[in-house]
Amino acid sequence: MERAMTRALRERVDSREAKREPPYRTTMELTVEQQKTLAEKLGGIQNYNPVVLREMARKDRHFFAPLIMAILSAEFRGIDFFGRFTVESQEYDVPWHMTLAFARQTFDESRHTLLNMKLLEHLGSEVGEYPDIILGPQRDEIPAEDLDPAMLLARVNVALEGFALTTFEEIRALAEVTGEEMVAHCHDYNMADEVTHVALGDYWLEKLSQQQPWRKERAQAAQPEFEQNMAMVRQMARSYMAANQQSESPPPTNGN
Amino acid sequence: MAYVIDQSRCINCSWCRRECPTNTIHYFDQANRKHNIDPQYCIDCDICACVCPMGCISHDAELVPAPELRIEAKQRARAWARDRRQIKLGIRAYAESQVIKVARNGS
Repeated sequence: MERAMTRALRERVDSREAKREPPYRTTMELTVEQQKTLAEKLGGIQNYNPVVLREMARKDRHFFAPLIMAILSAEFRGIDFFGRFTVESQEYDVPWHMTLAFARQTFDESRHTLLNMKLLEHLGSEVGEYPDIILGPQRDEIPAEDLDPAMLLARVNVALEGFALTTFEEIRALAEVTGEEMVAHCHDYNMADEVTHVALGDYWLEKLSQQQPWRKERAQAAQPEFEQNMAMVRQMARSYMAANQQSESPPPTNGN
Repeated sequence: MAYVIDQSRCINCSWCRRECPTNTIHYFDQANRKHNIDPQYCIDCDICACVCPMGCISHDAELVPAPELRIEAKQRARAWARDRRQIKLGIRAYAESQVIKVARNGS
């Protein structure tokens, strides 16, 4: 049963329009003209993907800006997710200290957002030049049973943020070799927070599972499922690139 | 020799498991929801210890894998390295072609 305080807060949040200016918009929400401009900047809309952008940034520093924007939009989603989690976790029988831990994590996500916004400025860009990336299902699409705090901890804190460690480290290392000291410094800082987030998630998942063992089984099933989805996305990106390379390569000669 | 994870300090970020060239770090099939290295397929490469953000993976001189398994483990590692290299080179070649395309269109 939803508490009055949470209900009132939810209604207040849901009744308001996004405050970010420009508002959150994915590549698919751009106008045809905006999509064309984006394609010209990146060589194709499909290149608006951190895996490809990282390698493009290795060749030309201009591609650091879209890469940082892709990370930044995930941080925006992080504020939304952990802000809601902090409020909604109070509907469940979870320790108050856990709720406080996620209030702290919401604060971290907003700090990362500010940090990445400043980085964008440093790179000569700003929020709005590039669209937002699609990261996971929208809140309304998540089945009610998956909103259990243990499931969210398993999927987001342990699995997703565990992946984020690798991503931040790869960007930090790339920035270091390409001489982007500011990017390297900020991502090193971000990564330290991510380690704390994974540790928090793992700690509270374990605590919740001790009280209710069924949570451990469901959490253990959720993590490989998440990794399979990630692997599928990467596989799709690779096959796309392979197909694209074949189509762009010169036609074979007859050997004469 | 092989590596071991101090499970009391491990935060289950899975970085070591994703980087292990012989796929010998287990997590999903562990009853205690903790990462664990199967020493039989550990080739002593040190990658897991290097990436661990908690510094909780260390060498254990007493763990000695069986020699016949070590051959299989090295074959796994070679296949892993080949696969990674191919992917990396593929992505780099594609990215390079895109950077050239953007430069050509902009000029």
